[in-house]
Amino acid sequence: MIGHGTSRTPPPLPPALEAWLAYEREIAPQPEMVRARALARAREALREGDVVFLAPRKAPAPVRRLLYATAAGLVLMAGTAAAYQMLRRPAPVPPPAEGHTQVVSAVAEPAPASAPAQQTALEPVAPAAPAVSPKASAPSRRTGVTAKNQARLEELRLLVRARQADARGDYLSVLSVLSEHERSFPTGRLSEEREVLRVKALVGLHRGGEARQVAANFRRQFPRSVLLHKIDDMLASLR
Amino acid sequence: MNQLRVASSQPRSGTVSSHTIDEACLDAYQRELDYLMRTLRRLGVDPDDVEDLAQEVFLVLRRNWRQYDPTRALKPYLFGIAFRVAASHRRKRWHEVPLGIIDEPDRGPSPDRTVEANQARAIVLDALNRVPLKRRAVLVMHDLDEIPVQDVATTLSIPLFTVYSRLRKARRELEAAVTHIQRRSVIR
Repeated sequence: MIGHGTSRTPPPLPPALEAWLAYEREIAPQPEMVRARALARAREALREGDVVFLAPRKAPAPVRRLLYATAAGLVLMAGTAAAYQMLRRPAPVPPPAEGHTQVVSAVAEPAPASAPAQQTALEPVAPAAPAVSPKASAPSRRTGVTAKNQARLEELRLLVRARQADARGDYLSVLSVLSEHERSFPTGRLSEEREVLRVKALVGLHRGGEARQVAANFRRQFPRSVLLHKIDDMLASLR
Repeated sequence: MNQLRVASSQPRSGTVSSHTIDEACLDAYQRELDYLMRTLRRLGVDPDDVEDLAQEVFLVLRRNWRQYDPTRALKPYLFGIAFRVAASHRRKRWHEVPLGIIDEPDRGPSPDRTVEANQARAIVLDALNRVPLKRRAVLVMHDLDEIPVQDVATTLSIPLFTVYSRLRKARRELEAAVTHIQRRSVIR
């Protein structure tokens, strides 16, 4: 189509469109009253001597260049300042040895001084744990942490303790911590993970009947849980 | 980008020639008034605003009359002014412009027109309103006013290539709009 540019004539109109436009090509005269009014206004404007005209709204070129240069300079300065701030900010101190346990403690409360050193080999926390990231471990600049957040952190802290006990193979401690969790947070956000851990601990203690009972409750409570297959695997290991 | 400014045009030294220019300009305006008003409508100006904008076009025409080359056709020159005035008006009032169907009222007696022609014109005008202004201007100039593409490019200060591409797209859009309006009227 654009190739018609060489021939200096655009392609002909489609016949249907041509038929429609033919109606519009004829320009009907305006009513006499409208014409008279328009001409009277034009004459009056000429008599009054005020002329409205269209003028290009362009700043003089040097002024525009100056404005652009100023804007660019400001943007550059802002970027430099931001980069400088980021480079000068002290890097967050990594938690010494306790992984997520320390992370949680740093926000919620000071870590217990007697934390065992072997906890470095902990496995990652339950799936919901990523809510607490290393970034969040840095002391919050906000003046107050809400009570809701504190409760969540406490809930997570309990579950992490249960995980640690599970990693050590101390299933009795696991059940103890989980009971504490259940008392404090009966409908907590991590109750799903808690019940899975409970089944795991009961299986570890070879208390198959209780494990199956807890698993059945779990199935009723969380019929669409992504952890169901884990529970099935644990129960299968009992046979 | 243009803007409307008010400036005084007090008579200068050449008062006699100014009077002549006034007359020549007024004469041209009178001759092309029908074309001008229809063009403004084609450019999407509301019927209630057409007279005001025609007046603005006249004032611009008068202001720039010295730059006008009388050996060239007046219509493209007038169209260029009308297009800029309409675009400026649209920018100022874009939030007030209804995006829906704009019906064409029959303004004034027209005994020689048939009802069918009136309806067809209303459909075309309605369809034109659905084509974006820049492309619509090219289409109106070339396909309705039959102005050569070179003059269209000169008047609208755009490259020839752009005229072709806008024209091609505008035709497609107009055809689609006409079809849509026809279908809608059939459904009603």
